[in-house]
Amino acid sequence: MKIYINGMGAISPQHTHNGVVLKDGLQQLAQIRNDCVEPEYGNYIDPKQIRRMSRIVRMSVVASKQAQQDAGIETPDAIIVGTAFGCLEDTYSFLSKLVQFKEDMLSPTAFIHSTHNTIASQIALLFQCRGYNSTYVHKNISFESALLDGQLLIHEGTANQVLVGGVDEIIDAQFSILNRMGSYKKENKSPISVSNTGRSKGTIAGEGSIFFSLSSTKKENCYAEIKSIKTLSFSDVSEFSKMTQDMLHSNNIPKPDLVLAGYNGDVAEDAIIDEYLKSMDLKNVTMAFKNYCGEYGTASAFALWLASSILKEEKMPEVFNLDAMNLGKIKNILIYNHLGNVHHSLILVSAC
Amino acid sequence: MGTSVYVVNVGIISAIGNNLRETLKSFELHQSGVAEARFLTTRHHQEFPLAEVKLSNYELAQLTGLDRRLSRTILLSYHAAQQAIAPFNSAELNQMKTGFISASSVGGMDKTEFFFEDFLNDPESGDLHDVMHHDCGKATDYVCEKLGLKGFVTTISTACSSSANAIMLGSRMIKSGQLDVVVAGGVDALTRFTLNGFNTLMIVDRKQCRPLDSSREGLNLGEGAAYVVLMSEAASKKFNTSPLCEVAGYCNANDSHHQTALSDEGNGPFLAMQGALKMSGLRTSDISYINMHGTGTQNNDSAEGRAVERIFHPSYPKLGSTKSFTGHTLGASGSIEAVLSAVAIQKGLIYPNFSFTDPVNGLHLYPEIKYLENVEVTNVLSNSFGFGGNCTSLIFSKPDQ
Repeated sequence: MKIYINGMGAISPQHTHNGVVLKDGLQQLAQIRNDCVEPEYGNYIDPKQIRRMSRIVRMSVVASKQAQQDAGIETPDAIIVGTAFGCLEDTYSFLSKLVQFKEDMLSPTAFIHSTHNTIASQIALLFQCRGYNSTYVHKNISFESALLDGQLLIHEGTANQVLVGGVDEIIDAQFSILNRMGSYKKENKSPISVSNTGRSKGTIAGEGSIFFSLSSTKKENCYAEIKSIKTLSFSDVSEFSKMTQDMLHSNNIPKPDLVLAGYNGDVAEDAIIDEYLKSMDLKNVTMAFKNYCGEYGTASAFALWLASSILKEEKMPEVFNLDAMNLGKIKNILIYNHLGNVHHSLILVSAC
Repeated sequence: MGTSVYVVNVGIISAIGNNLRETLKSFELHQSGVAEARFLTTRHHQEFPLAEVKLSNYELAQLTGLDRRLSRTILLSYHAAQQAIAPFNSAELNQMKTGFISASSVGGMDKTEFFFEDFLNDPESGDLHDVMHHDCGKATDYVCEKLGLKGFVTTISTACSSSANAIMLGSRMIKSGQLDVVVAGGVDALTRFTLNGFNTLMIVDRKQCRPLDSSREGLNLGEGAAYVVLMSEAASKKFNTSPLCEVAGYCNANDSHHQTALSDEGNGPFLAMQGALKMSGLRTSDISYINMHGTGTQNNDSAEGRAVERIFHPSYPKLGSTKSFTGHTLGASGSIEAVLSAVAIQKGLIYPNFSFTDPVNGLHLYPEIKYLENVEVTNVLSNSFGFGGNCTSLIFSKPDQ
């Protein structure tokens, strides 16, 4: 059974929310911290409701609405969200009041909205969806876990219209903590480079809310077909290379036409990717994607949005420097991401 | 249909015991784990009794051989998961397609709370070691690596149904042939965050909780962890196991009514139970025991009770909630109760809902109040419902009926 992407909605550090756009649409990020370009929420949500929603829920509601509308679906059969850190703003709000007021005079609002599953449940409320509903919270494979679950639901016949999203937000406190941990670059040396020159320690921060409407039924609006999703954890690069080969082989694809790799500019993290791509002889068809969305837990959702856009529009973003590359017609794209050489993930998408 | 999925071993730690033997003894003796708080640092320690695991972090570290500075979440998770895989060699398990699927509602919040005391005064202060285990995936990773498992790993967070969904996902991935062996379950440690959060909702009982009783005034918060080892038929044969039970049905549905309250009619619970029954191919009269979500809050027990009536009226199986013993362990409750359900089938047990006197107004549900042994238990329905309307029901059956 095939799985198609029939609709997408994306809020990211790029101007993706208005349906754009590969030509002139993507910009290299030049900051250490890259927040989303947010839409005019009033165009999508009842103003009375907006006030009751945190930023991450607003971004999720708009992106999920867009994906649903794009696919021409009113109510999905299932809703699955991947989010590495969940609703940080409300978690921070409740936690800091708890500490400041010494466990006194607290109001329930922030607590109610602090749980990781708030996003998926708010979307279920919005679409009045009583079907399958789940939330994955495992670092850089949160989105892939959600996507795998969606694929499984369709294969099982449990659901045929599945809404899957990858959502994470940056808040000041988490940015400052991760900065202290050395996660980010020290000065604005960006854009992060895929080349071997100028690599340093640390990455740049991003965020995003990106939703996909999946189905085994191909719609006219179809963007791409998801051929395969795999994650592999606590295994070495050679095992992961073997998994990649098996995956390509079983899909009769000798070599993908393009690889979108999760280079994040950190010298140690990128070395892992280099080793893997070298072992697979894929380096000459590889582009980075995190220089457009930044590094965050569910950045691979942005990569899937980008890959699907390239396949549908049949063109590459102007910002891609293709001089050094020898790319033919793009029909199959492999998305590769990893974190700390612990969790590796692959998403294989093809033109539909 | 795919392969059958078997529960071949379990591991558990909660307020009523650090392992399965102690847990069953507490049920037999009607010894609840709900007591005055001793380990959680909170101003509410005299106000709300808690179902704490009766070990300090230091003692948990000694028991597990782990670093005592780790989050309580990691210590609890490792202790339970390690019991579950103890009969097996992880290198041998890894020769098959193996997965570790965990679940949690607040991850390493128990440590983040301490970090924030310093951090809020000065963003450059606070021991980073206390905040590095914050996210839910961190405990899963730590435990997975320590157990020596590799392959598929993920973490689910759907509030109080989190670990029921972990078991459901593990079963589905085995049925689809993606995995052969899955260690699935969940964990939550008590935190000030959750205690104060539930307190603001005014659903925490100041006394021993009374699930499914007309006098109920709320839940008692608890903590713990539990994991099951799930195997396909082929893996179960290969490792020469004697399964406790089979995973016969499961369903996840959303109540889609309110962020923190179930609909009066219990629509989500109804759909979850009905879906699990349908998948199992069982009739309502085949169910021997319902391990209810039964938190002791006004809303849950009446909505869940209403949904049980809609499905089972007029003849009810034995039923009850085990939360008067374990407290509500949030993200861990689904797997703790799955372990209890599996053992109920294996050993022929029904757990007491000892704090019951009168049924919930308008309902006719009479939970079992005594610990019963030597009962024929063939099929158990286990419910887990959470914030966000996340409802999941699991059905476990005696193997090879």
